[in-house]
Amino acid sequence: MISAEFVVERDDFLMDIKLEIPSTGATVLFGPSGSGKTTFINVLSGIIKPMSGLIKVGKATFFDSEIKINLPIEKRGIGYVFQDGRLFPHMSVEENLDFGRKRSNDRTSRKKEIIELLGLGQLLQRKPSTLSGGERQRTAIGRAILSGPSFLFMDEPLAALDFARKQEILPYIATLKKNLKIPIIYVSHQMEEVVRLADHLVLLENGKILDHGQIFDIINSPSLRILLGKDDKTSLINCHVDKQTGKDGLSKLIFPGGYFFVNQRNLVPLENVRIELKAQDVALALEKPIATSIANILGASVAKIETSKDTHCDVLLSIGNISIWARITQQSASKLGLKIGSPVFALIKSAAIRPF
Amino acid sequence: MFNLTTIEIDAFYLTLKVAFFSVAICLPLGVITAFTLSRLNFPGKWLLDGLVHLPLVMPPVVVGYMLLLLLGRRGVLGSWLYDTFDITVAFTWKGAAIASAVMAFPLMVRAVRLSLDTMDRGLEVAARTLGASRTIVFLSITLPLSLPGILTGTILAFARSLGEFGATITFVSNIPGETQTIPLALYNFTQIPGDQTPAIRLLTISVVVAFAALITSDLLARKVKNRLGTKFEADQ
Repeated sequence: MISAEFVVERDDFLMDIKLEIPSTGATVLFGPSGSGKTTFINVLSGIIKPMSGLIKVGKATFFDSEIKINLPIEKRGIGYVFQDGRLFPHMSVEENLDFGRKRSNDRTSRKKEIIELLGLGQLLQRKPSTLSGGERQRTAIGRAILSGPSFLFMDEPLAALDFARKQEILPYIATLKKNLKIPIIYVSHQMEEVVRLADHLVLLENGKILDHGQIFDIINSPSLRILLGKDDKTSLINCHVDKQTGKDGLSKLIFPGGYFFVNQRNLVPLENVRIELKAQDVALALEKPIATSIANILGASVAKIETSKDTHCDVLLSIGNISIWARITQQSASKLGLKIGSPVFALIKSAAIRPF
Repeated sequence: MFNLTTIEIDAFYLTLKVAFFSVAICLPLGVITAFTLSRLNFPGKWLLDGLVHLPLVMPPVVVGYMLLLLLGRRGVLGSWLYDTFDITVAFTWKGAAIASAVMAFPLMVRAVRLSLDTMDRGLEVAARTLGASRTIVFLSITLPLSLPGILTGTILAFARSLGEFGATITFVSNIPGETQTIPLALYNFTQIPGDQTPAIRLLTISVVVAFAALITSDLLARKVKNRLGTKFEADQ
């Protein structure tokens, strides 16, 4: 657990933080540029010294302005993946990987595992200047992990990459999160990274924390929608892949109280996945359609109706033990005569479900 | 024409010896001073900066005279050196090396500092997040990455030492076999009317030494560049 309470003042920027971050899973710091996300992890890692405050990680005190403790960066036992990689240009990929490893307590066989996990085997003898952006970032991630950190900080590690490279690296980070059990604090202003990686979400704006908590609680919070500047609703659902899968190309994803079919073949049976479902991809019907191309027809009941100033309304549906949002027009809502508790069918195209 | 006299051979070896020791003094002190000026903040930094650059803007003869006052047998430091260690620098080749070192010092500091100032400081921070102490960071990141600047500084200092005249002649005089380097010997020959051959021979030696230094520095620079992998940096 990280407990952080500090004040940073720079030029005309004031940051005033009081926050606890759990030491499991990935915590994403989300906010527009200039909101203080990077400053936040720079304070935690010791790169920026706050004016006052108290920062504790587990039992260790990193910073305490009362008794003048300011643990130097190298003694904090953290890993840091910078936006620009910051590989040492005079060292090969392998020497870069070894730089932190040599100084960590944990010099065991992790190296082989990490090299394999990040696909670095072919690159070990190369110099950073000969690597592509994606390869560099993978090396930087491996280097930080091999230093044996108790927390891994990642400052928009994908920001400098183009779309294709992002798609290349994101799965590596997701696997890392799953396999390594190192708590990650991840700075991002991309919703895609948030829905894919975050277990906890901290919303920052102007050096203040707007909201924070479990991703499933925060994902549809009003503060996030204000930050994003649009009122799209989305549902995140944890599922696991059914053991029989892939015969007709559709995978079956089981959630508490039901299942979805998704149009994806390469899912590993019994693996846990998270799916994102946008509210506008969910349609409603009062009767179960018989002849339809839609693969997912789920019995649901209306839990909540939020009418917007616009022409649409958002309907929260209970299906089994989960909730999903559906966005329909106000005209349709009155045509169907929806009320709290109405039984309906949720219609979801398999292509609309995006598993991570 | 190329039968060198003792005076000329002495001048040649002495010049190399003086330049070598001048660089040997300049290099470690220059790197430390450059690092201090580039990375640390302390009261009176401007004063250190000024002192370092003084030999660059003052007439060399003035620098030589100051050295004489300071390090001469009766000078403040000189008498102490003589009394405690029995060392005399004035009017010896050691004095010539010191005079060259003082004149070359600002060039060395400027070159190294430029390379430290333009270095990506983020790399040093990254090294510290990987558990390296400040000393390790200096030795394994800062120093290797400022190698191009250190190399440039060394070449400039060496060249400056080869050509040092004013401060040397004022501080240690023009004694054949002891303090008479090539420029000083050449000056002597040009003062004597008549045969110009000895002067031209010295001139030729000078040109050859300078060229050799240039070529060596170029080869070294290429090696350093390859090691730093800067060859490909341009495509990115």
